[in-house]
Amino acid sequence: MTYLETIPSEWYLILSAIVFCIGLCGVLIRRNAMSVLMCIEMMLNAVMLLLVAFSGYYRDFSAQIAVFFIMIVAAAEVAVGLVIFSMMFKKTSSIDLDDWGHLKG
Amino acid sequence: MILLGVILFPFLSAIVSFFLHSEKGSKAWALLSVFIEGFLVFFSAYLYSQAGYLSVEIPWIQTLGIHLHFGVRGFELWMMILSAVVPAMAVVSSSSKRANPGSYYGLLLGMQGALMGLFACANLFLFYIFWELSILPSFFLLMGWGGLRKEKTAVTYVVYSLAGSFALLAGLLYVFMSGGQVSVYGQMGVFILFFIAVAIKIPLWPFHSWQPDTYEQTDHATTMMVAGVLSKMGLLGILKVMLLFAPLGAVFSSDKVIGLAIVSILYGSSLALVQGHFKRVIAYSSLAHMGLMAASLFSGTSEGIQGSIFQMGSHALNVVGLIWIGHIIYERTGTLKLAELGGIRSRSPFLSAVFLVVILGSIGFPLTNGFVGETLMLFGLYSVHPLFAILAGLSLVLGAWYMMRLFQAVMLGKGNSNLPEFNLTWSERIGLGVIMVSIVGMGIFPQPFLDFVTPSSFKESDSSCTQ
Amino acid sequence: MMLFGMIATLAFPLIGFFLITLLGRVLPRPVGGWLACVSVAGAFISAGTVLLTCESSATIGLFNWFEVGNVSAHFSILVDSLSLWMSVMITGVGGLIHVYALGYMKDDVRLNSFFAYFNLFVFFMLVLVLSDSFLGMFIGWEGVGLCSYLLIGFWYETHAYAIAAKKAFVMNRIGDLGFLFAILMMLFFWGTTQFSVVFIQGLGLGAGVLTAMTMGLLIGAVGKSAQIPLFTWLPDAMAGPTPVSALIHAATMVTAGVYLIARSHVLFSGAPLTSLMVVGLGVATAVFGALVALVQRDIKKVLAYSTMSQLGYMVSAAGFGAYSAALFHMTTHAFFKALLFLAAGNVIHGLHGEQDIFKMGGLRKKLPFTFVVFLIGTLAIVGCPPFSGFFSKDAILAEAFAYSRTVFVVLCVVSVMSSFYMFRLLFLTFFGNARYGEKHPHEGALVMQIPLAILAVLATVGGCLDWPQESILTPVLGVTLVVLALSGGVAYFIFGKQVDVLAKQPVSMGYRMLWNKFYVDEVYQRIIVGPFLSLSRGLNQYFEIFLGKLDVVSLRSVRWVGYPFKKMQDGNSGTYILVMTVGILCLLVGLFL
Repeated sequence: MTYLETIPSEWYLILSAIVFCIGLCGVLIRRNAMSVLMCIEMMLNAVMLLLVAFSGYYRDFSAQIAVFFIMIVAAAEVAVGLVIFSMMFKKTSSIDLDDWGHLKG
Repeated sequence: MILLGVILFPFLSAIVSFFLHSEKGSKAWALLSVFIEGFLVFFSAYLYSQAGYLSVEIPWIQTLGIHLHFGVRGFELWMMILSAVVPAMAVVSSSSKRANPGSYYGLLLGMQGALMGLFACANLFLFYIFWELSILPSFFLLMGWGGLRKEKTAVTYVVYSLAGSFALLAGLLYVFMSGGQVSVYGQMGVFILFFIAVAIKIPLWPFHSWQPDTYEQTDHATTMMVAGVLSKMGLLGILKVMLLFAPLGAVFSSDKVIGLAIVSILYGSSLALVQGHFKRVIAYSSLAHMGLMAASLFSGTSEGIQGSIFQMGSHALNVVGLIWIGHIIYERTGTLKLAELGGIRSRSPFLSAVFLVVILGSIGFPLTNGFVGETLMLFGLYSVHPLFAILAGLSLVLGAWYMMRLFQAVMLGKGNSNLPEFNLTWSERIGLGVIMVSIVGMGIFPQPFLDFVTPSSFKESDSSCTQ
Repeated sequence: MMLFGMIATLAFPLIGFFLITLLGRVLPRPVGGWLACVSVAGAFISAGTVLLTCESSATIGLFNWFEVGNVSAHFSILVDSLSLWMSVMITGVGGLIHVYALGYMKDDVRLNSFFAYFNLFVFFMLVLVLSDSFLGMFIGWEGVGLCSYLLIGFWYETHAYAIAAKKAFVMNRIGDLGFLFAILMMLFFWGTTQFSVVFIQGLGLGAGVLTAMTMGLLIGAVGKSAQIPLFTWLPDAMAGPTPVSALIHAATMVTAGVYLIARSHVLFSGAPLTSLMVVGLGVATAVFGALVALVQRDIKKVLAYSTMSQLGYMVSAAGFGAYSAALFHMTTHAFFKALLFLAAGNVIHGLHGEQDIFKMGGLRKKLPFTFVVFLIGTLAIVGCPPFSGFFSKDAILAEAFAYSRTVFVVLCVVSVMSSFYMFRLLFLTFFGNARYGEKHPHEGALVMQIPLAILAVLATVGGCLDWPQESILTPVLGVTLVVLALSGGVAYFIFGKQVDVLAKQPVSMGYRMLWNKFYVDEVYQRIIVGPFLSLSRGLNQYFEIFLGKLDVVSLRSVRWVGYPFKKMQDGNSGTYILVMTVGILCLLVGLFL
């Protein structure tokens, strides 16, 4: 019995759900682009937490490999996103999502 | 495998073409592409003549049982040759300045690829996909290049086309659900749905009202594609889908369909008589010709069907010739209104000679390609009922009338004193010469072309079509 | 020998056409004309050689045209006395007219294309008479129509000429449709249109079917031979250059209908109703043409209506079974009518394009040669005894007498009328006072006179070609002479004297009726063409607009349906995510509760 398994799996589920909901609410409510990005990251992290937890629970480490991939993608996403934000900030001198509405087609 | 090449090649070269911007470069690329495509098609025609049947089947979406399945029989190959030749003519005839030439040629090549796929596909799923795919580039071609009212024309065209596609989809789904074994009443319903789809595409009266404006407003190369090949899609749909999956519907309603097609013939011929615009005359004459082809497909005789398939090729050739001549005149004089034209024969005897030969082909003059097709089609209609043959035959008289009216208005008379010189370029001379020689050649030696479409080549039903 | 000769007959004019067309730019103008004459002469020599050497009839297969299902069509040449005789006549008379045209057209800039069309015409005419199937005949049939179109509208820059050409083409096309219908019937019953099959199996059909088939052929003949009701194109066709009128609209093409009926007489003999119609239409046309010709003022129009009337003679003769008489009259008619047209061409040429006979007169002394040949032509057409027309006309009249007294009497009356209008034409043109003003009439060049001289000889002695077997010559001879003398005398008293004929024109009701050709053109315009075009315009203006409106309505309705959904797509990603979240929640709730 590993250290991970001493904690009941429901707790992971609940924690992950709480973090996910916080992230979701943030995406829905916040208008600041940085915050929205961070909230998206939170949602991702919630999912990753769940993946790691269940991989320990089932002793199947392929899920942990998937988590690594997600982390890499998330890092790339943050990098691209931040660059876009900084470019947009230069153009509009605002970081508010509502001010960027004219980007829609 | 060459079929895959034939279908994919135009798409690939279309993608390249989108990145080209110069007038010269994009035209050169498009020319190269259509000639390679023509070579591929003719090579597959050679292979077909050796093997008797070409097909390729690759599993695609396994879980739904959908395969990439292409296979051609004689008449499908004939249509593919058509859709290799017409875009080649369209590209060669393009000489004027266009905005965004790279995109234009790209869309043209994309349309060619879609048509190739449509003609070569061997199951209903692919048929629907390519049917839809052909609408896309034609919409953008209509939208982007043409006359003043091009946007409205494009929207009308696309709404009509999508309405037809919807009917087609409904029919195809019904066939798909019933696993190819459609009940009698089901066949009647499916027949009506398919008929709406093809009647819009061909077009038949009264579904034709998108056509005259489309002909008049679009760029000439687009008109060539629409008149020469897109309209044949509907006829191909009749052969490839309607008669195969709703044969009982065809048996029960062929009289009504022939009646409607004859209304198209007479209506188109009569209205072509009073049009004041070169391209509108061609549009209404096409309505008449396509009506005759559709009618004889339903005659149920091998002569009628073979004549109709032969005529698809000759009509494409003739109509492309007419549009090309119209374009040459438009480039020189800046107008295609009949009232403002005249006297061109004295400026360019060669152009007038080609025009006359094309007209003779289109009115079914003996020793031109039109005669063989029209005689066989009228024969087919005669076998159904002599009255049909007489009514449809009236189009020969009316055709002579409106075409000679067109010839007179454009070529004869004194004409404007400030009519410009008609110095034809070499590509125009060669292209028109090829058209003229082919019209007469197909009229004198039609047998090789007719053999392409022997009854046995389309009666063998392809069981895999139902997949 | 025969194979070679027949192929050469067909090939000569075709090669001539292609040579002149392709080299038209390079060749100096007269050379193209001479080339055309040489090619027709070559065809004449080959056809003549075959005629002289060949005893039996034969069929020469050339190649298969198309074979589809049960339908097959082959190109082959039928060599028999009829087709050979026709080809010799076509190339002979055609060659003479070619030579004449060398002089007549010598100043025209487009001389080469004129001769190209001429050669093409001769080719198609030969195809018409030499092919051994109705489909092959149809090729020539339409081909001569095309050449007729091109040549009537040769001076296309004049609007009226172009219109006349179009009218001729379209009217002919109506007839062609009838012919095509008959061909479709033959293909339906036998799968082929070869004469050998059709004429052997033709009588096996029921009378009804045979009547329909021959009706189709009759419509074709009516169109091509300018019979009632499809004749109105022929007078207008005089817009073409005069050699064209002589070759196409007098000697060869217009007689194709007679040839068609004579060729398919087996079918007609099985369809008495159609034969009756043939006689009726022929006689009616003969009367009509003669009546209208009585009062016309244009020298070519008089000859055109006279042609119509003579064609009516031939057609009715073919209708009551006098095929050989009809063909005999066709031959002599080709001689003297070509002669008359060419002589008229001389007059027109000499007067610099004047065609109104009331502005001629007294040309006897200025154009003596033309006067002599015109006189010979006139005597031939009116049927004066030693000349060719006498024999051929009397051959027809004799058969008519045997067929029906009424027809005989009517045809005799037509004969009287024709001699009256021909003498009227002769006297108005060549006698009386000169009314052409300041012009200086002059004879044509030698190339124009030689063909005229040859044709004059042919028109004189052409009667020896065929002597009617059952003759009523003796009584007819006397009657003819009396009638001729009377009508000639009357015409002389009215038109031959030194009077101002313009002042003496009667303006009665009947005269106006004749002058306006019984208003047939106007009636067609009012009853058929006008309403048809109005209908088309109406459809174009109202029905098409209505369909366009329907389009707009359907477009709008699509937009209305889409409008609420458009509001949802506001482009704000927050809204999208909110909607998505709500949707997922709903799903979850639905799934678990």
